[in-house]
Amino acid sequence: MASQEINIPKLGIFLGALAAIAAGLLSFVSTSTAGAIKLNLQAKTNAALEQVLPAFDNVPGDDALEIASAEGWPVNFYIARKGGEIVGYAGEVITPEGFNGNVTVMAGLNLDGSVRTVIVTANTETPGLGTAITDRKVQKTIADIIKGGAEAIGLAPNTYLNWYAGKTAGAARWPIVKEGESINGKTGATITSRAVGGAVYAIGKTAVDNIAQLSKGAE
Amino acid sequence: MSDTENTPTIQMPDPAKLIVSNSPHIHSGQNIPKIMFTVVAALMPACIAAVLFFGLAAIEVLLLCTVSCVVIEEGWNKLVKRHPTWKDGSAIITGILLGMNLNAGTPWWVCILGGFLAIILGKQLYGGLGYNPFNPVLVARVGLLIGFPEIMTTWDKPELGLMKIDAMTAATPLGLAPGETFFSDVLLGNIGGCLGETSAIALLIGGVILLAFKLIKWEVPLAFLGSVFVITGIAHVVSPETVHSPFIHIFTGGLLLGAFFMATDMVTSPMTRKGALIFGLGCGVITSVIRLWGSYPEGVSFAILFMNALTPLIDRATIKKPFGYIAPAKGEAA
Amino acid sequence: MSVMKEFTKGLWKENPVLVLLLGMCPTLAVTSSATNGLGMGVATMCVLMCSNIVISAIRGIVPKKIRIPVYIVVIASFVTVVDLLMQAYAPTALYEALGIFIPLIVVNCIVLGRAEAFASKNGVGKSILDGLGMGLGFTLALVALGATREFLASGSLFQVKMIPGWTVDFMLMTSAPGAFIVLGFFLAGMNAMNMRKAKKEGKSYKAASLDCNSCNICDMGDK
Repeated sequence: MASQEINIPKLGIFLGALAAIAAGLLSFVSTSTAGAIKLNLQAKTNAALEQVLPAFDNVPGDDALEIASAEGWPVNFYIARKGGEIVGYAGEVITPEGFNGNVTVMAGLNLDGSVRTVIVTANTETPGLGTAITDRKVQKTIADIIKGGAEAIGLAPNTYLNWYAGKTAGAARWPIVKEGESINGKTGATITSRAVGGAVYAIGKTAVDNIAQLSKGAE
Repeated sequence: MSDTENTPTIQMPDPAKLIVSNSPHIHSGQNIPKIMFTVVAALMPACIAAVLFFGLAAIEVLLLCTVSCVVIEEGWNKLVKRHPTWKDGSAIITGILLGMNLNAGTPWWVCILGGFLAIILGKQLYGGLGYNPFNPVLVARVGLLIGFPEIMTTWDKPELGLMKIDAMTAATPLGLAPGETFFSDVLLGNIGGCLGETSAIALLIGGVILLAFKLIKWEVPLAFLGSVFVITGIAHVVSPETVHSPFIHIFTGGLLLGAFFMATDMVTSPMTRKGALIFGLGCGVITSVIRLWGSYPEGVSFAILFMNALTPLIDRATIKKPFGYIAPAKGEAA
Repeated sequence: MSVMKEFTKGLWKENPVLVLLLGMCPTLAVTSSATNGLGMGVATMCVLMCSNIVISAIRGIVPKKIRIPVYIVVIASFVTVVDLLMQAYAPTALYEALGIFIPLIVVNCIVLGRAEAFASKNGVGKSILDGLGMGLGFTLALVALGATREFLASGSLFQVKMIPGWTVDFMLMTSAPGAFIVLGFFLAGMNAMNMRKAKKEGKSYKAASLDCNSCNICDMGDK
């Protein structure tokens, strides 16, 4: 540095100019990726819905309504249509009964309100214990790669969540079954089992009670 | 030889080998093997209780852990060309304590991996016995708990006197809702849990043996158990339907085992009496916090490990001042 | 230093993770699988190269007094660009796993470190090579860590099971303590290897100490 004097206006202009260039670059990238990002977010919600619903051709995210359950939890219902006809509903609810707080459960429902498929979309349960109840994980093996194919596996099975398939919510919550051939609960993860069961019940019960409203759709 | 005989020189101690350490400097006539085998004797009542309640599977786990600890220790000594150390008994104790921290149905490979974690990761990497900042058994237990939460929290149901091979599973009392556990079961050991957690009476007998031989400081278990009792007691009074009574908290889980056998480990707990009190208090507070609000049902091992990390600081803060010591005035260099 | 050396020094001799111990936050946090390590490594490499190019190109006109804010503006812009691009075009699962760590590349010491220590003193060509080498070294270290952790945890690599019978995951390795344990073994192995090499050449080996003399990030080390 030749002179020790600090030329504040000059430094300010330099930084300002640089910031302006950076801002220009960012606004350009932001506008050019905005579309793709929006599509991505939509695809994410749709991917969850596709897992629990039969094939649909509308955007269930735009065809949604909120009904409070008996517990007072807001249940978000998405309505799936194909060619304008309703083919199924999906309910999503956040239960606070998880071992570590909130568990977000999504259940696909048949037209009569019986449970079709259950997935857990968000949770903070203990890894390896609670997550055994909540996670549907696909594990590819080296053998699959060598054999080739085996790409579209679809929904990974989960014994505990599959238990609810076909059940219709009655007057009270389903019991937690830990032993036998079909189980929905697990020793060491009792609280998570109960929380998921309670959330599925809240969705199912709300759907059964409000099936007339659901069948009219969101409009 | 002849050279040094003829030319007398003053042998100065090698400064690198001089060790400046805190007290105690006085030798009590105890040595490592003697201490270690007294500890083994103190562990025996709880081991016997475990075998009575869980049967042959308990013996299997205890033996497997002990043997794998000793074998791994000797394997490591061979690898780094050190003298065999198994005769000092520390690997044996590590093995027994590790077995007591597992449940009767633990698969064999988990026992062996636990031995590896305890001996290599918990002890030898730091330089062997005496240099480990953390209790090796708890390093292994926590490693396995995080590593295999499902295996480590599935407890066998105890059945007195039956030498059974197959076992039912049961929940640990801390995982049940309050009111589902009975005090007499807890005291005798008729509850699910690790091998070493079942019988409160057997653990208390062991603790008394250790105290009688002055192998542990009474301050640690007292402060540990006391603080858990007080904190869970307050929580129980505030909310009796969600929190167990403090008696259940004291006598279940790994608390007695931890308070008497692991928090008191000579290597990893403070040397001063005041330090031991602080150490025990810290363990108790952290244990209670994890039990009441944490994401794991049991917090004893996490609490002790955490306090292990603070031990050097506690030692430094509570070290006795030399007689006649005058604190330097503020501003002066110490 | 020859041109090739500018490139290769980042791979081994001055590996940012294993020798300089820079950028520990992403190193420890995202290396739970080989895929995550690769994603983070490549993202950082992109930012590092772009920022090295720009900072080297404008090094003549940046007033010394405000060089750090200037570097930060440049780096932050490129990180945001990479973040947006990944949000738009990277697989959703990868973006979710790397999550908040992408914006945190801004504060990754490697990027600012190379800007201050290298790009601001060397030409564009050399700076590109430096960024590429350092970025590649970072990526390799992250992939190695991620792959080791993933393999020890579940016997799989890049989400593909290598050992079919491995059913119970060893979750210690994918959680935070596993990151520290594996990194510790990596550093020990690195030191052991260098020690052996020095012994072979008849030289004494001193592990790099973390003081100002053996660091070249800021000007103090040069003196």
